[in-house]
Amino acid sequence: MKKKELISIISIVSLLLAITSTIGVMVYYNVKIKNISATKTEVYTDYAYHYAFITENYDDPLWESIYAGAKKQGKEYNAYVENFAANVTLAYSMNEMLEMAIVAKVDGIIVEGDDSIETSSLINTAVEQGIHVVTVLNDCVLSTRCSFIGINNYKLGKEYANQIINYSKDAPTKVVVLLNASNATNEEIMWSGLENTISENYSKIELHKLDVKSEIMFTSEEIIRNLIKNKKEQPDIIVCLSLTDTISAYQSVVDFNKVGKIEILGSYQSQPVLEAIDKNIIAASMAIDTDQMGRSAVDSLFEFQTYGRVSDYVSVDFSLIHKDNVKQFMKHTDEENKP
Amino acid sequence: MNSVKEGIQKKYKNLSIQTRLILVFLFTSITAFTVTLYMNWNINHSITQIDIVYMTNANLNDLNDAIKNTQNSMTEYLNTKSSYSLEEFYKYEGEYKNLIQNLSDQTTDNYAGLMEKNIKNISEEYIIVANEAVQAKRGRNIESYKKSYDKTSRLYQYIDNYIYCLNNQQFQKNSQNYGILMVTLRYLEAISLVVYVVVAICNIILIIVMTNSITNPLKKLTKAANEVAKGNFDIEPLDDTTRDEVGVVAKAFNKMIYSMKEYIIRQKDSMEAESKAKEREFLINDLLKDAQLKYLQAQINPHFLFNTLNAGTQLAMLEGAEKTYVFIEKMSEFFRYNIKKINEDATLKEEVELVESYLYIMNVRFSGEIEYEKKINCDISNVRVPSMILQPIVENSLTYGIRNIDWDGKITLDITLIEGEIQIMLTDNGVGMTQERIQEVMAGEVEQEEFMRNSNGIGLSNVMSRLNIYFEQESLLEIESQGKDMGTRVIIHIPVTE
Repeated sequence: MKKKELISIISIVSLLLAITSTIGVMVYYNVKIKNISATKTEVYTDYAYHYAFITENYDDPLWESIYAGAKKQGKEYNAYVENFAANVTLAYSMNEMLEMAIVAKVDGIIVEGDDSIETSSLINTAVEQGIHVVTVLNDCVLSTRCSFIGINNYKLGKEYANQIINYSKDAPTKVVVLLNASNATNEEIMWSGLENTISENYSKIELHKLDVKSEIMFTSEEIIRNLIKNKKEQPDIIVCLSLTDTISAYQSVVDFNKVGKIEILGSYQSQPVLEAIDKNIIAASMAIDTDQMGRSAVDSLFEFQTYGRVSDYVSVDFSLIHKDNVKQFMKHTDEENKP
Repeated sequence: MNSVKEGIQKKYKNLSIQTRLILVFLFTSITAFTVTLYMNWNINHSITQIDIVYMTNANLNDLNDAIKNTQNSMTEYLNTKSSYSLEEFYKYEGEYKNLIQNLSDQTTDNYAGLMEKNIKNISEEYIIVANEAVQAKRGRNIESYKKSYDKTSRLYQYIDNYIYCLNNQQFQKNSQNYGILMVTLRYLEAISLVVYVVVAICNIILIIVMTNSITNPLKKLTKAANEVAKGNFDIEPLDDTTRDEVGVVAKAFNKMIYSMKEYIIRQKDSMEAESKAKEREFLINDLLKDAQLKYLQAQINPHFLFNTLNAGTQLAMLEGAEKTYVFIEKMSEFFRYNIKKINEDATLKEEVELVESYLYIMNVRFSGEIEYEKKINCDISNVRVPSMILQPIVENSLTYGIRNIDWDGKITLDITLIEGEIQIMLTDNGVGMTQERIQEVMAGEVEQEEFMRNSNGIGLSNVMSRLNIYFEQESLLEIESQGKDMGTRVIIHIPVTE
């Protein structure tokens, strides 16, 4: 009788074991597969509006940062901001991308403006077709764009002048300003701000312009390198108006062992620039609030779309990064870079 | 819980072996089938997912082909203005229109979705501009169609690039999915193996339990049958509660054992009853004999007689009646012998003396009618025989042979030594005996009735028995008679031992 009971217990236990292990294995399998699939199934959101963000230098940290701000702000208005250049494999020109955005019938365009007639006419075409256009960083003055988001270039010039005066310490100083912007108007305004401030009071400071912009790629770096290498023309202070130039200048100064002999006043912030400021290689850098710029662009677009009018010019703050406050910015960018 | 379990067990036991086997087979098959089905479903699910993505790739390729054909046919028409190319253009343009209808135009942060929207919108523009170009060509507006052609070329290039990008992205996605599918399949492989092994083990255990439940009762049945074959009927009854085939056999077996037991008990009872009946019969006979003996003893009461007779001799002597004295003394001797010797053996001489006393008494009683002759040719004083063997024979001769004859009765006693035995011959000249009568007497069949009627003696068969027992030999007594009125002779053979 005992043996019989044992046999029935064994059989029931083995049956239960078989059933539970089968179910367990199946559940385990499902969980495992779901875990794998989870990486690919993303949740997508639909949006009411489609804005195009157009710039040729989409992988430039500056533009990346502006785009991030715009994209974030777009979500607030149920609008998706598409980074046009990043989504195609071919390197289209800005005008080509403008045309693409127009025929793709987006609801709004955020574009880095320039002075060309072609760009203006394309912007005008867009506006004619009911697509609102906002220019950022550089304006397209001739076009019928609804708003420009930029910095006060005259004020920027004045700020650079103050820094130059600060670093010259009343000694005769040679200053070279590297011009590299696609928008000459902005640079001109900036220059006038700079020149006016310095020529008013400081005769010992010698101001030079150096246009490093070229149709041939990679030449700006060579020009900067030559400038630093050449002992006769060697400036005491270099003012860089683009991030690329700032980094090129910083690298050349390091390579030719001119740290401390040539001061660099840079533009914009990126991790290498901040580190260089921290190491005293770059004296200071003008940083615009890129996040604010991106947000303001979307704000303007949406405002115009909703109310039919918007402020023609929206000014974005800029600040000076130097040794004393660099830690703050480093922390800030660290946080931004966090996923 | 227990009652449920018992209920299930009971139900299970009530199933026939066939049904049980089918159940086990069904259970194991269904388990295996379910597992296989589930695994297959999973594989199919994974493959379907991949298929969907590949479908989009295929669709994109169709789209690409369609716009390529549209662009080519338009270019050819602008070049040649041939009606064939125009037909082609409209055909491909229609096809392309249909294809772009399927594209989504929803703004989304899904890359593919956004691409689709762009492709759709640009394509719509493309179709419009392409038609404009064709119309301009028809209207021979060279400048216009040139301009439109340039635009279509640009748009075509944009679309082409978009489709390429989308294809590329989908391909990457598919590669990822393919990787996932491979991992999935590998997991499936391992898991299937595990599940199959578990199911197989479970099935084996089930089958073992199942076959045990079938063979165990059979084993018990065999054991019980062997026990019964050895003659042991006191075995525990088999478990016949199950309703399967073995249960039926067990029930029949139990019934058989029960019937056999019943039969054996009945046999035993009847045999016991029979032996008891016989015993009682014996007992009754015994008691009867005992009673008869007591009765006889009471009648004879020899001591009383003996004492009385002694008193009689003294009286006869006082009165001087010599004949009476002798008679009474003979009687006294006769009875003394009777009292003394009834339980012992005696010498043949004493026996002969007793016969003589008896005959004297009888002669007095019957007025001397009986003649007695004695021939003894050997020494009989040392021959030992059972007591009271001759007197009953003589008494028989007197009672049945001589008493009612018309002639003088005569009894002859012959004792001779012949060939190592002493032959005693008692011959009378009485009525004789028929052979049937002799047979009856020899068989002892007349003993009872004669004994009852004749109060005075010991039966012939009694003599025969005592002789047989004493000498441990058979047939020591013979009766001879020549027929009616020819007398009777009784011969006794006494073996002589040196």
